[in-house]
Amino acid sequence: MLGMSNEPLKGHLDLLLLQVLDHAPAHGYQVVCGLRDRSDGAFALAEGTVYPALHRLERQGLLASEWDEQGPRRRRVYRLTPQGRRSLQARRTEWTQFAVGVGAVLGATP
Amino acid sequence: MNERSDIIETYLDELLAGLVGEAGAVRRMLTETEAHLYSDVEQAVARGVERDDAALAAVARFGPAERVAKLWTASAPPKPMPPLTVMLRRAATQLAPLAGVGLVAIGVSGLIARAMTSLWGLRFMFAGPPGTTYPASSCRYWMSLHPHAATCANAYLAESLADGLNARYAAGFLGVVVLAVIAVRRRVRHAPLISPPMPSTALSAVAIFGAATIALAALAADAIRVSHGNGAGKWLSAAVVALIVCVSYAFAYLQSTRRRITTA
Repeated sequence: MLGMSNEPLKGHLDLLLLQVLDHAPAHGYQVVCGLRDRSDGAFALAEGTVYPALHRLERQGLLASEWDEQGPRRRRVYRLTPQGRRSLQARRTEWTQFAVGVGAVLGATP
Repeated sequence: MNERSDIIETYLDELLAGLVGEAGAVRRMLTETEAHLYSDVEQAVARGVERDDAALAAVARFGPAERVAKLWTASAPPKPMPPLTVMLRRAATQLAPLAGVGLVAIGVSGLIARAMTSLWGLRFMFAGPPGTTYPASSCRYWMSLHPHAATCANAYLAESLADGLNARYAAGFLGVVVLAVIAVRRRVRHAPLISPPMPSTALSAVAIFGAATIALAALAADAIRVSHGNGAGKWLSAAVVALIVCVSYAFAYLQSTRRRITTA
């Protein structure tokens, strides 16, 4: 699948990151791989932009993180906080309503 | 598999150069980026991709270092201001050598003034404009200190020489003490005894000593023009030393700039 422009992604990156981390704690590289795999490569995302977003979500209290010292190199592992889980639920609902609305408009015959 | 890649290391250097924020947060971003890029390379190498090709692809996917750094810096919490005591200590560390050099320069100007006195006489160094009169009480005081002086004017000159030179020598001695204290502190910390000044310090010194050179030279020129040279030497001797220090710091600044360009 061809990668789409980053523009539509910008407003929804937080939702996507929270969603990927909803399943299990993960470090940044796993989060990026998760995004890539789940979207079937649709998001042509500069991977470096994920880290500032992860750090920001952590400062907002939606994620928590800690160093994983196992393995050949140190990695920061992120997990959802209870607040992050509630935020994900709210954003998911919001997105679904938005998508349904957009779908309805696009599907409507003039 | 922990083999380093020049491509990734260069990318990390570029990223580090662009990250602005609290030191711990910068270090964390760098560590995470390093782990990410090497993980990506290792995955690709395991699939049979050449290591350099894998590194180039990993870096390209991560995004231009400048852009990632800008994005991170824009979202990072502002770098906290260091406490006032830390800022004062940093300023003192930067300015103390400058103060030491300045004081030593004043001492050296005393030696030059002494040499000028031998060459061109006391009048060139300390005399006031022609026709200057001195109060009787001052004359009595100076004559008591210099009983061999034939006139009040000569006693004044002798006293000016003693006062003027001793003050400069004292400043020079204080400068030597300041520089010695700095040297001892450096030795205790196993730092090089002599280190080139920071470019900002060198530039400040050029400005300070350059301004001093111009002011002192103007005073000397004025004494030559208005007072027929009387007293010009005390300004001229200081102007010469200020000029030497100014040129030395300008040279140090150019050297440091050249070093930065070479290492960039």
